[in-house]
Amino acid sequence: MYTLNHKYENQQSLETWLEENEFASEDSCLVQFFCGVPTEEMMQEVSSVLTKKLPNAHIIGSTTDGEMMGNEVFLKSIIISVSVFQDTKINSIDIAYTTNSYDMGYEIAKKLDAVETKAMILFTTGLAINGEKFLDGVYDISKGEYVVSGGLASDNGEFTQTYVSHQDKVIAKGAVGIVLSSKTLKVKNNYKFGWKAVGLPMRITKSKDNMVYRVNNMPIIDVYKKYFGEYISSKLPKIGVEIPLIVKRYNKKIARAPLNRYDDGSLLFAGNLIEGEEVRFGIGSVEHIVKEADKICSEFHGNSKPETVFVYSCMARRRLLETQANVELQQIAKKTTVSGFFTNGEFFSDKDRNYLMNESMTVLALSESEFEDNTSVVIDKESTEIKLEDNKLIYALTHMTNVIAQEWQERLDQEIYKNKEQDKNNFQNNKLIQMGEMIGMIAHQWRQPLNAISATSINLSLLSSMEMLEDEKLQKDSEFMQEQCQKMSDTIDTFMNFVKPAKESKTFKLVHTVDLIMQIMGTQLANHNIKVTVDAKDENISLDGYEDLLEQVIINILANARDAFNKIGDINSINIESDRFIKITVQERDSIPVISIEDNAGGIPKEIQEKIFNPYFTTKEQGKGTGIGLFMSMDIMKKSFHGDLEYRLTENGSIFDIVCGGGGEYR
Amino acid sequence: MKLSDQLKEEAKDISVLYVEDEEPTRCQITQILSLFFKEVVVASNGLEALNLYKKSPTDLIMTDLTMPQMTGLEMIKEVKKIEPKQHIVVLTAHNSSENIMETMDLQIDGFLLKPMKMDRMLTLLHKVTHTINLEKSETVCTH
Repeated sequence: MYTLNHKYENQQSLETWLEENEFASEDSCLVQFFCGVPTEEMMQEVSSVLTKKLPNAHIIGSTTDGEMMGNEVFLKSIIISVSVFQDTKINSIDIAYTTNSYDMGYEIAKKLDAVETKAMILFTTGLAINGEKFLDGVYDISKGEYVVSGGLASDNGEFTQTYVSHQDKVIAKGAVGIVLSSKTLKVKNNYKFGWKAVGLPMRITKSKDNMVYRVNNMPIIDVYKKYFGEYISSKLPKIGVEIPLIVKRYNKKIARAPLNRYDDGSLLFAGNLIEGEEVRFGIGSVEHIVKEADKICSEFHGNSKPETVFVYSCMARRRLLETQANVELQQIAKKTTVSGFFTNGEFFSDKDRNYLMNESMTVLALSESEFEDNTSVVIDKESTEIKLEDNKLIYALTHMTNVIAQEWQERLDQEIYKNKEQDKNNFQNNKLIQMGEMIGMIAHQWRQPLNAISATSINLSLLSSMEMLEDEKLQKDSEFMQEQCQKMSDTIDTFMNFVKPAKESKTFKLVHTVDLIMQIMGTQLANHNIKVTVDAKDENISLDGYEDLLEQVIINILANARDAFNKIGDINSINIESDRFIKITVQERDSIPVISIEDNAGGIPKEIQEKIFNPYFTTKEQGKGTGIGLFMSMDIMKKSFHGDLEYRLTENGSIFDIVCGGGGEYR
Repeated sequence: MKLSDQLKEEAKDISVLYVEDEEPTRCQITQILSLFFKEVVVASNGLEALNLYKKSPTDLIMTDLTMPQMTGLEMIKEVKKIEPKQHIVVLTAHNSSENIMETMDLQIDGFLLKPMKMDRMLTLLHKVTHTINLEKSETVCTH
């Protein structure tokens, strides 16, 4: 096979060129033309000449944002690329947009699909088509068995009207495509990106398909304004291809460039962005783009030498590299014939899926012969550097942006690391406090049997020394002491079970959790003269998660209430001490489980209520509180139960609502 | 003479009100006190004790601190209002300083920490009953 390219000047010279090369006599002839004059008339003019002169050829065309031929890039010109095959069958088709982009992709691929298909080249009009869905439709036919290439038509970045054509038919909304089927044709595709992700990761918070409304809960246009300033954002969508959003999918960095803006502050992108996806701004780096383009060339080295390379590259690359846009073609053009155009979005495929790329350079390399490549690839650094000289300011700024972004990221990473460490420490501190609490509870549980045993043994000892000890009494009291020892042993078991690290995540009843806590804490609270009542509105209210985490939260709040009673107990009169209560209510509020813990320990003064969930805030005297308890409890409720911890002041005390679900700020 | 015998001697004419909410401990200590004292009145909380005391005061009160309804401290305060010189021994598991500081103000005769040690109990009870007997004999003498 071979490919010859022609730069259009007028009908006459085109006809002459076609005749001279005798394409009309070839059986298997593929014609692509790339039209930098995005008008229907011009598309019609060129396609009519081609169809008239080459009635047997398969002819497809697209409007562009720049054309490629050899190692040159042109603007507003028309490049005709004719490929002649020996052992490859070609078929072509056009299809108008009817119902949706997916159906269009599915239909065109279904009609083109053939035995021994090796590659499909598809062009679709570049506006109001969802390229991603189109490619999904194609994939449901191609199934990764052959290469899918091509791109979305462009209109010199005007975003008003693009065209594609098939034979002499010009289409304003639809797709055209050719299929290459052959036993011998070798096909290789590749893509290079070169945009660097900069700044902090952001999240798509509202989108539908390729319409994006909000990023980080802000209108997307305001996000662009914030980071790129009023002037640049006012140039959206035109400038958008140079500052796209980058999303990582299936381990591939994919850029999404805005194509249109709307009054409500939303932007239409050249591909879908899914709600919840993490994105970063992409900044085109000249240095990186050139390096990546060089790589694409060296990656072909060692395979059979391509006889033809088609390049479908993003308009943003041309715009960033400006007059030096051809830099990235240099190495490939040294080896083979190159033609292609700058698109509104490039098509790439692997065996798993089809991809709509933005900002990328996609390459389709074809060869019908087994031809070892003996020419070694020498990266012509000098020429690259000389070209970069002209772009030194862009180069410098891009580099600086990336370095600053990198420094930012590093600092942020450090902060995140520090915070994680802090969290870990907090967690450990809290664990220690909880252990302290536990020991306190065990002490309370043990005192009663210990006292009883000691009193019994004193009694036995006295009776014995007074020679008044009867056998029956000795027997009875010995049994009693054994029972007491057993009780103490049971307490240990209960607590060991409680402090066992990380129970599994499972469904548990809230009533069960509260019961468990009362078993170990009940005695202690009773010893503090606190009357505890548990009111379960529904015994079956359940929750999924780590029960021990919820236990921690409840114990924490109960322990705080207990300490609060002790504090007022110092000052206040007898009556209050006799009326101390804690009321635990388990119920559902708007079908969200809530455990409310109410006490009459005086409450938290209004002026410090806001601070109680802050880390290291404590009202307890030094050495008694670390200020971590409520902070950790809140953290647990939010992170582990998507819930919340709320505080309410009552007449004589406090209510803490442990809200087990319903959203919260974490996912 | 053994300590227990000495106590038996001192306590033989003395009545004691013993207040404790934990049943097993209460049973045992009641039995122990009965070995020495003339009369042992038993209550299971502060309020009950206060009512019994109002009906018929005893020479000595031996009370726990942590109890439902009315704590030992509250009860002691009330008793002291009635009889400022009432002899009182406090039994407590609370070896926290706060509680003890509070009872200091109330002129307590002594403390016994729970779990009890026999020698300490006998020694303290002996000392207190001895004091009570001295006071009693002074009262008899002055009259």
